[in-house]
Amino acid sequence: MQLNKFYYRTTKKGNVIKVVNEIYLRDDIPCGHEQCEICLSKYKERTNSEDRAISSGEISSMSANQIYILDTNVILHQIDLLEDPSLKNIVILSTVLNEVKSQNRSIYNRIKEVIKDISRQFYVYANEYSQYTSITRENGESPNDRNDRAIRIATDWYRSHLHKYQVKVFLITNDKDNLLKSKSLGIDGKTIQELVFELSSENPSLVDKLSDPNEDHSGELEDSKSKIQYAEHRPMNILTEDIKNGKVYQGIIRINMNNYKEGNVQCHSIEKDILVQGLENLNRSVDGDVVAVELLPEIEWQAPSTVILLENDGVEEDDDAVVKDSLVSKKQPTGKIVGIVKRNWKPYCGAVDFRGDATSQGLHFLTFVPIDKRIPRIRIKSRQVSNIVGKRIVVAIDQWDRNSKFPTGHFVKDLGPLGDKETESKVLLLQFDIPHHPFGASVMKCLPKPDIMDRVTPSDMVGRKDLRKECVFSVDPPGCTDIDDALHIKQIGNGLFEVGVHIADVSHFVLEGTAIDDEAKSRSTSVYLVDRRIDMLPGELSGNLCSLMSNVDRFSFSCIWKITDQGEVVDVEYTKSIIRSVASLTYEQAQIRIDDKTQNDQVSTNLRHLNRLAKVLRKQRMDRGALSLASPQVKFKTEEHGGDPSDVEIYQLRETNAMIEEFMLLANIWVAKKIHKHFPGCALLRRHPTPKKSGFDLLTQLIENKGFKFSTASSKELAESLDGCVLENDSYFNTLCRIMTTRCMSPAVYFSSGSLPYEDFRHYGLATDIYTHFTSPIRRYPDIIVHRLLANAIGMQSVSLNLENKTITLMSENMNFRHKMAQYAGRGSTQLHTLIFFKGKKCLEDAYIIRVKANAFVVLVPRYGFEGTVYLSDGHNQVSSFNYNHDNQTLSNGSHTFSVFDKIKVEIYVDDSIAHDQKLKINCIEPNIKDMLLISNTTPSQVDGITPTQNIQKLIKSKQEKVRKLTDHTEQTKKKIKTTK
Amino acid sequence: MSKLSYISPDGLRVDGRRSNEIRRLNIKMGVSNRADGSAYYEQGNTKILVTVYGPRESVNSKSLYDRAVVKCEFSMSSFSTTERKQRQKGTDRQATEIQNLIKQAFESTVHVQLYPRSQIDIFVQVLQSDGGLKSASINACTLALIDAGISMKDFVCACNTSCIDGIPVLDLNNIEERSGGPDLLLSINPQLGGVISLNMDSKVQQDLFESVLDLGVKGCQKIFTILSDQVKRYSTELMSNQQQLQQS
Repeated sequence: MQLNKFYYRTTKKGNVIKVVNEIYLRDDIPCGHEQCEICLSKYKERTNSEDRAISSGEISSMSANQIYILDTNVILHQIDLLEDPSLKNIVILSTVLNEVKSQNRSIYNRIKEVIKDISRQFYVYANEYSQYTSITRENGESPNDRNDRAIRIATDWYRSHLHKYQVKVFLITNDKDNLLKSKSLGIDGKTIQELVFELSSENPSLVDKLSDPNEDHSGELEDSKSKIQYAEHRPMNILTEDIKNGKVYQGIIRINMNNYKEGNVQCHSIEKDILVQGLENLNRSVDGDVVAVELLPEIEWQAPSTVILLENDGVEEDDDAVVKDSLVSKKQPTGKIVGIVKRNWKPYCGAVDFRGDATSQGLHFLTFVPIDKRIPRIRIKSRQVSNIVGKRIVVAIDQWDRNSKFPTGHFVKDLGPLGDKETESKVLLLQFDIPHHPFGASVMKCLPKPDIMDRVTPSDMVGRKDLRKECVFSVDPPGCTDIDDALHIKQIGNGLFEVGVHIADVSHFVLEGTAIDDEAKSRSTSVYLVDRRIDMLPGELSGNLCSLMSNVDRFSFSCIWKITDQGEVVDVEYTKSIIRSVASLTYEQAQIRIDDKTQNDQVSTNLRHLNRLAKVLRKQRMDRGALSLASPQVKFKTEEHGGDPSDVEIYQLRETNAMIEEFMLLANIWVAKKIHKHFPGCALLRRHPTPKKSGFDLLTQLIENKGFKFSTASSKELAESLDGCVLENDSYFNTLCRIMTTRCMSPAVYFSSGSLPYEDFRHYGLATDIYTHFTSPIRRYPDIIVHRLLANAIGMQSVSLNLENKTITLMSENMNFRHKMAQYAGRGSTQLHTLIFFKGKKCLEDAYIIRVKANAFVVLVPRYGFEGTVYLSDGHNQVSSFNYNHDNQTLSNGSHTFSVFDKIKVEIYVDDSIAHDQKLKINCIEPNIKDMLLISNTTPSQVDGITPTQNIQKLIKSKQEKVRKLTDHTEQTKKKIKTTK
Repeated sequence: MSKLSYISPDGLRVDGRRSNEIRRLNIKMGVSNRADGSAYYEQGNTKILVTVYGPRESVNSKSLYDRAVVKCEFSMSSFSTTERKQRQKGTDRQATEIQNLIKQAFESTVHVQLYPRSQIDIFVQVLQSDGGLKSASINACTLALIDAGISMKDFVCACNTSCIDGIPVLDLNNIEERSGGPDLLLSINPQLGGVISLNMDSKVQQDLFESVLDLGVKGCQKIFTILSDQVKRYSTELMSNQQQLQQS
């Protein structure tokens, strides 16, 4: 049966056109119930095996004698509930799926994941294409009503269709109108609450996952007393109008990491970010939301606050006044949020703050404190307090009412006990959105047989160079199982060396478009936490088949140069190859072999050749202006595997590290040149943008204050300046400068060569015009892409379809994001282990001040490689008497001045007074702040009950007085000069 | 912004077809009395009228002494697409392309040497366009030429195929054509078994090409059975009419 569907659409120009699409209505769409043979036989008769293959593995069938058909609103509101595996035998109509898709993309993706899982028995029925259930919109019927009717008709059809098998069909909807109408049709309808309560006898946790957007909160009464009353959000249609007219600006809100009452909105239409201060102005926006913001009149513009707020001070604190210190920095466009264009609520990790009897039964209202300081507290309801308190849990926000200070949400998942290393690591992974689920069956299916490398067939060898005779070896950190690079060198006369870098041929096993490729693409990188590694590829590949271990045949991708002993590349060859490594060394072993003059075997002499050549290359690179930067990297020592950290050691860098690095850089640069030559429009490259000069301003001033010359005009001058920053009595000063320089620069990013002009390809840090990542395909996805590109360039592989500037750009965006997240997670893990390390200890350590804020300063502890904040005031009653100087970045109270680069002694301990938020506390011991505070507290200017604002105003006044005195003084001197004349 | 999904998880396309199904064909031959041969051809919502004049004496001196020349004029009605377009003077690129395609296809299939110094004119008029214009035009021309009684070696059947999300699909409609996937047009002589033309826009993965082509051949065969059915029915109808005339 054929049917035409039409609708009217307006074009960009504003013309109304009629769009007609034809629809074929079928009678062979199976109902998806196992017992129904009519549908199945008809389906088999009409389709051939190929058709079925397309849909196999994605369609599950239902078996129970009660099936449920969901309405759209149920999916939109109860997605967390639907992800619970105890709900089964559910029909999702295509009408519903389309509605979900158009309303909320992320929920659509989540429900699709559920549908894919065959064990969940969710079946999609294409009711719009079925002859029995398809309907057309009637005159005067709204699209919404039409969809509701389509759902009812489909349910009715299901009911009569499955009637003879004694299968009961229920429509699950929370729409009262829909429920009523379906009852009149004779359909059994239920609300989701009714369903959950029926099932809750078997599975009580379901009730907590139930989200309740429409319920009247009984607890609201007490809230209405609180004076928080947010302004109404403007409705969408007015907002779009206003945005078009330029009255309000649209952008994504980013809450300040250090101050949850302040946020920035990035807009395309306005050059600077718009500052939003205070909870009232933030008006219920949550970090990441797309918001509409209205600018305040210019007189009310503020400067971003330089205060670090101590805690997420919740209800106890009642004034929202933001500490205003507009004297010290420039004002910024300031605005208030008038509407939310799109919520970007995610599930958040955290814990409940509960003081009371955890064993009591019944319904409780709890306050949930997210780990992410930018997210407000969330009020949740629970019947099982004892199960939640003391646990890390995941909570989703449901809504945020005008008259409630905090949003309300519901419990999603329990991660495990608080403070547990396992749990907290899991939290880190969730927090940074790192895919860490075990590899699925479809991915494992893509794996080759483990003995594939023992049976290398001639077809595998086509186009491959046999390098098994070469003396190839690898040098890696100890305990490394995923060896992705190996080297060889030999003298070929005329003062020439042949140097080969061999990289694991991962793209041979990870073919484009396979499940394993998709998985690797979404993971994009292996994530290294202190005590574990989240692999990008399954262990079988990363730890065995691809890993270039010694004494086994392995496929590799080789880059072979002919180099003079002056480091000049004469010739280069890129080829796929097969190698057999003779030794896998650690950096330490390799270093010993180089240093030990008595060892003269082939590997050792080759190592020495390589080392010499690397030094030449390194010198060349340094002469071009490459920077050597530093990071406060440390390594935890653990007693046993997976145990708590017992000691911390600084990551030791040897000559061999630099040697390997040098050749990897060489390979990356040469591969980048090659792929850019062959794919000028879509080569995946890596660039490090030249930092803006303004970014260095502060640092330059600080270092020059120390009496050094510091020039950032070019990377070469910067490198030289850094080399010059040496304090004789302080060896760490140079490293500190390098660390802080690193902070001033933006990180290197992946990009597609088609999206930027050639001049912008430059890698600033490495001082090379073009760069890419080629050498670690086991742990980085970009390298796999580069391998494919290179294989195409040398004619090993056919050109794939996806080689376009657009797809590569899209991919590189994801890679950059994942890369950043992996770094954050790694840092988070280090922090976590530092915390565990310091539990029950109190240490005195040297530290350096690296940043100064109005009420605190940030210190770096070199011994443990972490930074922390030292507050000058402890809580709200105490007030700091320190004078903050923004230009010089100093804090002083007359007797002592804290400035950047100062070396101080600090005391480090774990503050576990708040169970859900343990953290490292750092106190300054030498010079002792507490004593200073005591002194300052006794000064007559301090009166009890002065708010920080007033205090600062006083400071300002005193400052103004000083200025007046000074001017007076100068005038007097001027007069004196005049009189003498 | 939201990317359309062209094939649902249960294997149905945007208009409810499966990947290997063609749209419904609706054919009528001999619709115009004035022309020597004509056909009205519907493939889904694509509607085309073809009229054939000839073989007749060449108007200009471009005739060939040993065979006939096939000429084709392709035009889209201004109301054929959703957005009404102002006709431009002269022929646009798409029209020229289709004209050449048809000319080449039929110069190789019509027994041109039987009609020396003459020309055959084919006029293709698109009444409604919903994807697959090229293939539909070729099929319609075959029917019109048969109606005109011009001697041909074989039918020419054409079909377009594509590959969306790695699945080969047959006979694209307008929405699917705009998906940006490859568009492979195949026209064959279904009985003689030769390929008349094979055009492809955009790229297709090498290892998928074979299966896309296979599907195209299947589609052409399917179209052929429908066309030949229709031609047979039309001829018998004509014959019975003639017999009735003779009897009366």
